[in-house]
This record gives sequence, structure tokens and C-alpha cells, in this order.
Amino acid sequence: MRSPLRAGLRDATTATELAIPRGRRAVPTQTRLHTRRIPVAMYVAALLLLPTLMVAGFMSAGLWANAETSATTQAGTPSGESGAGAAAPAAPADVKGSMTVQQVVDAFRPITAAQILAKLGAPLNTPTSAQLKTLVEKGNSIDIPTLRTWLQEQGAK
Amino acid sequence: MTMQEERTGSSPGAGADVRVRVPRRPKSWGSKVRWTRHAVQGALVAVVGWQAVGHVTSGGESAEAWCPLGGFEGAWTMLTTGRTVAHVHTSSLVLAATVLVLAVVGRGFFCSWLCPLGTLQEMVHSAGRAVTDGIPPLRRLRRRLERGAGIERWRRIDGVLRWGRWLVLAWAIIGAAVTGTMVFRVADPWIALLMVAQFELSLAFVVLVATLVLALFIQRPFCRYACPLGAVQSLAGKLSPIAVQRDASACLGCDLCNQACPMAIPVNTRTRVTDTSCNGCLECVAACPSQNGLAVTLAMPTLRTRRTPPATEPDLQAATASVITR
Repeated sequence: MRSPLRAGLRDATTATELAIPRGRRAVPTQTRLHTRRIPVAMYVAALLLLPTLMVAGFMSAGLWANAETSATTQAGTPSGESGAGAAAPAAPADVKGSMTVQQVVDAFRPITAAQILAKLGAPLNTPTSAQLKTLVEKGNSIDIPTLRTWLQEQGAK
Repeated sequence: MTMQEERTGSSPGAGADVRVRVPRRPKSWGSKVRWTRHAVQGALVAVVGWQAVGHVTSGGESAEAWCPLGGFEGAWTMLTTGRTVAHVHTSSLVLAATVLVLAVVGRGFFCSWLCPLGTLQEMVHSAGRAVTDGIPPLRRLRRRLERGAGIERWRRIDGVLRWGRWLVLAWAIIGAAVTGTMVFRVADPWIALLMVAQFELSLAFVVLVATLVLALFIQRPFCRYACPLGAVQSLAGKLSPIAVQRDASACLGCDLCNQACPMAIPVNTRTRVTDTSCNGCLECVAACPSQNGLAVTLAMPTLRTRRTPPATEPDLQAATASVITR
């Protein structure tokens, strides 16, 4: 059974006023604050603009960095070495899936890109800018820990 | 003039015959607010979805880089060592700072307008409503759970469960600071969602499934009971001068705002909705049929100099209404 108030709200679609039924008043409360109404449209527009401007500001200041543009190094990797993907590894244990083949080649010469690609089961014409994790996923050959072990062995020889 | 008082009957002094009239809000107004919010949510889901698919298919930028929670988790390590923890990039720190400022200004605005996980829960809940509306027992269960206040026992359980957000926040922040890793990542449903294409049965995936199943019956269960990002914003939101405010003299007491609130806040008992669980969705404002019943207001820095005692209902009516005697 619909209440008279609810029925009135639904039915009086053209009415410009609403009658408050006796006994239906909500708890009357007061605030000690001076308040000013804000138009909802202005409130929403301002709060959408605020994060947009903040992110744009950080980006223009060069503080925005993601996996492809790393502005800082991650804990556990040497600082001061940044580039595409994660920072270049100093030791085989630092190799991560987000690093590129070229980064590993640069860090562990005389190992060549062809050797790494062969180890990962990737075609030899694969660009050296490819990330290790991509090749691991595609190759189904070895995983990153195995690659680290292999690099360790190569370094020991 | 916002309202009119109309006395009818033979005894003008008798309160029983007093009816107050207040201006009505245009009926389409609420729909415009709702659709604007849904449009913004849809756009954000599309952007994040595009990122996630791009990451899976072509190894592009991880959508994790767009997660502000990672910024909060990695903040301590960043401040003390100058480095970010694994899976956190400076973009996450930027977003964390942005969310913090947004919370100080607009409380939980991020949760209800921008967070893709919240959007997903809303979508599932809408689907759940469509299904359960056709099955009376499920419909009754959903309505009771939604309102919370309907069942005293459920209300108590709900109140206890809401402390979960603070526990999860403490676990995520302290754990990350102590271990230098994102400890919450193992149970983060957002990560499970991003990695859904590379499916593996994990705690995060279980949490995601549980969240979505609960969302069929409860609005935004993860936001209510477990979201650490929401907890951070609740704390920052305490500083916000902006809140939804109820004008008691124009409030119909119709309960529509209470029913519209996804966080089950009893809006019609508040003057200013400053609850920590308020996510700023404006559903209550959109649902209010009275022109001046609920509004977004900015609290000015000065307090009233003269303290007034709590007004009674007749006082409020007498103070604000123009009396028409017929």
C-alpha cells in the first residue's frame, strides 16, 4: 500500500509545490556554521577540473612516470640509472620482467641479444626493445627466475 | 520565500490543520545529476579498460600505474629511501596526492564519480536489482540489506563490518612501510580485475568474486567494508568545508534520500552529511523532490556569534513560513 505522500510525489508531476503532510517532518536540526549554497553543476565541474589540472600540472613538471617512463628507481634496484622500462640491472638478481632485452645486453656484456632471445625462445628478429615479460609469456620457454640463473651462470664462466 | 504555511479548518490555532507547502524541484533535475555521474563513470571505466587491454595485448603501460592506492602504500618508502616499491610508479604518487586534495575539497567524490571499481559494483548491483525484483524473497532480502536500519541485528553487523576499512588501511600502509612491498596487492580486487585476462586463482580473485556477489544484494560492499582508499578519503574529508546540507524547514521527511543513499546514511536525520562513509555521489540530492530540501553547501570559516537553541518544528515553521489564513 502506497503512502499518501509517496503517491503524491509520484502523481503530481506538474505541481510546482509540495505539501508536507502533518507528522511526516524529519528531525529538525540546525548548524552553527555559516553556509552558502553551491550550484551542483558548478560543484561537479570544479571537482572534475581539479584532478585534471593537478595531474596535468604534475605531468608538465616531469613528475608523472609510469612503467614506460620511470622517473625514480624501485626499491631493490640501484638508484641513478633509469631509462625505458625499469632501471638497468646491476646483477642478475635485479633482472625484472619489465626490462628490455637491450637493457640486459648492456648490463651483462658479452652476452648478446641473440643469446637472450634464443634462451627465451623468441625469434631472432625480435626487436631488442621488447620487454622480457612479453617474450616470456609468448615463448613458453623459461621464466624470469630461470633467466636470472642463466645470466648468473654466464657471468661465472 | 521558500515555503508557505496554509491553515485550514475552523480552529486556526490547532496544529493538526497546518500544512506547509514548499517549492518542488523539476522532476528531470535528479535524472540529469544521475546521468552526468554515470557518464563520467563510464568515461573513466573506458579509459582504464583501454589501458588494461593495451597492457595485456601489447605490453603497454600498466593500469596499475593509474592506481592512487599504490601511491599511499609507497609514500613511506618514497619519503625515506627516495624509491618506489615494486608495482608503484610516481604516477601513483601523483594520483594519491590528487585524490587527497580532492577528498579535502569534495570528500568521497573520487569514490562515486571516478573510481572504476565502485562503478563496477554499481553496475552489478543494478543488474542484481533487475533480477531480484522479479523474485519476492530476494527482493525483500535486498531491500532490508540496502536500508540497513530495517533489521536491528543487520544494522549492528553492518556497523561492525564498516570498521574493516580502517583495518585494511592499516594493514596496507603499515605493511608496505615495514616490508617495502605492496602487501595489500595479494587481496586487492582491483588488481585481480586488471589481471583477469591472465587468470590465476588467487586471494585477490576470491575477494573480487565475493565483492561482486555481495554487490548483487548490497550497494558497494567493498567500498563499505574493505576499501582502504575510501578510508583515507574519509579521514581527509573531515577537513572538507563542502557537504550536502539539509534544510529542515523544507524537508518533507519522505525518506527518499535515505533510500537513495548507497552507503545507507540516514540523511534525513542530519543537518550536514559529514559521515565518514559518505561518498559524495549526490544521489540523495538528486532524489530530493523539494527544491531546498538538500543542497551542496560551502561552510564559511566564521561561526555564528550567537548560539541558538535547537529549534522545535513550530519554531522553524514560524520563522520561515509566510502564513496564509484562508
